[in-house]
Amino acid sequence: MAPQFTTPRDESNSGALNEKVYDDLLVTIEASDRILSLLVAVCDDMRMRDYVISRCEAELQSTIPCYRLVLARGEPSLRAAVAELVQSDSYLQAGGRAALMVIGAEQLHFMNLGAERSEQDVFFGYLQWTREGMREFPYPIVLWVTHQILVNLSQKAPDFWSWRRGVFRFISAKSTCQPIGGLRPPLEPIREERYRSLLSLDALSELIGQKQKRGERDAGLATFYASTGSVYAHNFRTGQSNDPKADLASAVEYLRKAVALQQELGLEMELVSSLSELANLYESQGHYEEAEPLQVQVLDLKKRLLGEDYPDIATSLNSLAELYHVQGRYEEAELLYIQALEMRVRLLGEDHPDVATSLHNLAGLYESQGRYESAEPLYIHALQLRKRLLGEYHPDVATSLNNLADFYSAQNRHAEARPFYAQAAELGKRFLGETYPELLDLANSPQKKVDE
Amino acid sequence: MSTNLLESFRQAYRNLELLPLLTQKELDSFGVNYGGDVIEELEQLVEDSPSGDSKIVFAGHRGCGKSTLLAEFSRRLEKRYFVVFFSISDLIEMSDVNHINILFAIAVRLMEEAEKRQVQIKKSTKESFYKWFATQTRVESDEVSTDTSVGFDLFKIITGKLKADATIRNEIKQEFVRKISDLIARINEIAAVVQVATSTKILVIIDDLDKLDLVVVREIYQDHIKALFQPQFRVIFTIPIAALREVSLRAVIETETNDQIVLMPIAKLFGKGESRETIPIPQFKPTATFADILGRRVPDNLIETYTTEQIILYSGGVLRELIRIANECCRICLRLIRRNPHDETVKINQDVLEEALNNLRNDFATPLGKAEYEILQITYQEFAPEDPKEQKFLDLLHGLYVLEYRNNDIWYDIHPVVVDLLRKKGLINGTSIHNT
Repeated sequence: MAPQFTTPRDESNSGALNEKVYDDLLVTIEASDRILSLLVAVCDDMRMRDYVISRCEAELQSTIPCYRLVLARGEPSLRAAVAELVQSDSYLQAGGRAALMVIGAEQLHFMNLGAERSEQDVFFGYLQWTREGMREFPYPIVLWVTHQILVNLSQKAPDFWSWRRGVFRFISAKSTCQPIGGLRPPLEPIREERYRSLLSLDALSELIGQKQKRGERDAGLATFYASTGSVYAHNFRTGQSNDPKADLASAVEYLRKAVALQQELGLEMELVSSLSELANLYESQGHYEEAEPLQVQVLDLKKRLLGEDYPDIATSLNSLAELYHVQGRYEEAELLYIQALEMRVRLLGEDHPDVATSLHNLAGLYESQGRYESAEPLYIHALQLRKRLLGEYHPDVATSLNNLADFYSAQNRHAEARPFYAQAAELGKRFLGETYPELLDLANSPQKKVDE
Repeated sequence: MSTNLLESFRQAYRNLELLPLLTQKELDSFGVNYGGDVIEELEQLVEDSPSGDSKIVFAGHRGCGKSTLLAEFSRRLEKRYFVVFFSISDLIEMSDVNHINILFAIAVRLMEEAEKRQVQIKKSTKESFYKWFATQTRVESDEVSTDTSVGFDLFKIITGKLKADATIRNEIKQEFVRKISDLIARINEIAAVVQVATSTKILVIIDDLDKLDLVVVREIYQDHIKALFQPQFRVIFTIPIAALREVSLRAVIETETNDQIVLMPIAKLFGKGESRETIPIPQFKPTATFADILGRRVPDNLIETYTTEQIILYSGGVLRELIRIANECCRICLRLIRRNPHDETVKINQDVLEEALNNLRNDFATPLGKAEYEILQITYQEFAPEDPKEQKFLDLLHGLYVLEYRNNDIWYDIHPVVVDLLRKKGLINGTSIHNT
């Protein structure tokens, strides 16, 4: 089998790095033959993970047979999974050599979704306390986790963590995670609504003129600069003008003016708004390297101005996560999405539209990673939450329906996709002509997909 | 016939309204010169705001005269500032006040005030502001128009909704809780437009935040002060005195206001310990001021001179307590007149006062338990509690059981009505203020 870590579109060096990690894993397994060795493999891209496991299986075929184990959803105990396998396999019963690949941790929910403890917490609890019981299993055991689980693993199962014999981190590059078949662009994460001035460009230019005539370089002038920038940015985003390029240039120009004056006058909260608007513009143009430091600055400023624990911080975490998501930096994106989600649940309660948005974003990320099993319940939960909180007839519900339909459709689960497309289309028609431009094409395009 | 007497007492009763003197007319009728140095202190801080956005926290006991003073203060600054003075209780149901709706209320009152004064704002701008307000409060769009009178009505509708409709308040909270910077940006934009149109600096004064429960106060000022202080114009916030006695909260407020805390003290009728003398002699000046205040509301012929003095002493130096006791006395007299319509001798005397105090004592006694009595007892004896940070003590301070006095240092004493209560329960010795 040809190595699949490197693809033509992968500009980073991740292919070579992953080859190295793969070799590390393989030699560790070989060296751990016939002894208990707890190995942790980290991979956020499920297709890559499956590829690695297959390659291991192929290469070790003649020496150390590989077994795949899936953690049970209800009782995600590593020990129980291993014990069950050993008991049911005569080869292992007879003392055969083996390497165990344990998967399924990525499917465990990190949210408790009504239960007392989340599945992940139960899993960590088992891990923490079953170490003694593992001694009877003389195999290298590779526990496959995601980056998010890894972070929690070290904290929530410190004893297990202290026994690990090695951690193998595979890097997911965007190119390796293109949706299979490449038929459609990756789903846009649901974006946070942005501030837009109430003032018209005419009114603003008049107000700025008045300010300048009086020689007032104050907070008011900064506000008008920022407002002007945000109106141009809005026009640019929604395509409401004849000259989007000029709008973009003007938006950047005025936002920069605002930033300069706000910095000069020490108007930090206003600075936050201008910087994040500017970051969003850069991001929309694919200038991620320019957007990132701005988003990071916004997050830092907000933390300082509002305190660490604040719903606005969650919004920023989410924006930064989006930025990582579109760049294919899934590990970073996942951690931030989850941080934002947890903060929202904590500060706003589980029943809040923002929680639904967070679930959606996370589902989108998992979908990009091919972690369909993880994505599906989140999509469904988000849809139910939205229906309950916003009512059946809400544009966000339509978006949810459409995303879920796309999700099924992308996996060739067309029968499941169809009713969601139909519902989304129905809703989309209702909102036609309303102020939700993103839905204007919704009523038609899904119908097309249904017909296909 | 004592029709005249009845009428006089009715008038006096009406005069003894517990509410602050907000209008010039009320002030003309009943106002006295009080708290002048506090006004000057406030004015100084407002004027000395280098970047024009200073936040001032104004504290004092309930009923010590803060609102009356703020109203007078706002009138005094009206010529130089675009003053927006309002009570939070006029806009938001008090049980539901939070930092979001305080900020939203600022936006509403700012625009309403601009409307009232017919500030010239471009029509399209005004329209889009109105539309925003209407959307946030779910006012139907056909109710919105830039017609001056309609605009004014819009704010009435909005105010009504904010006050009565918990759903709307909740929606506003949900909307902005996660993007507080948007709400602030909106407020600043409105303020900047008003500022350009009037060429005047904006000063917002929010009264009655000191009436909130301490838990709510803590949440607003401790957790959300940064957001609350973001508007780019001068704002005076009110706060209960007990909140300033919470060390951590005070530290936060000191930092965020840049130490701009103004405290309105209650009148010091006695120096520390003087009220414990065998024959206590009150300070002349504050006593005279209080007599003046009472005299403007209750004609001399309706009250014994000695009783006037007693009422003043029982007020503990808190203006509203003075009015409250006199009010209670008046009510008793009205009842006496009703029972004996021909009795021309009805007057606020020691018997009437004793009955009034008895009623007030019962009011005070209702929520007290053993622990509270112990704190009160110690505070009476030591002029300070054992633990000034203790929540129960702060609650007692908030509820006027304990009064805070200050000259160079701070000391505490017990509300004179409560002192009697302690004495009757045998918790403390000594004589009553008056000897009936």
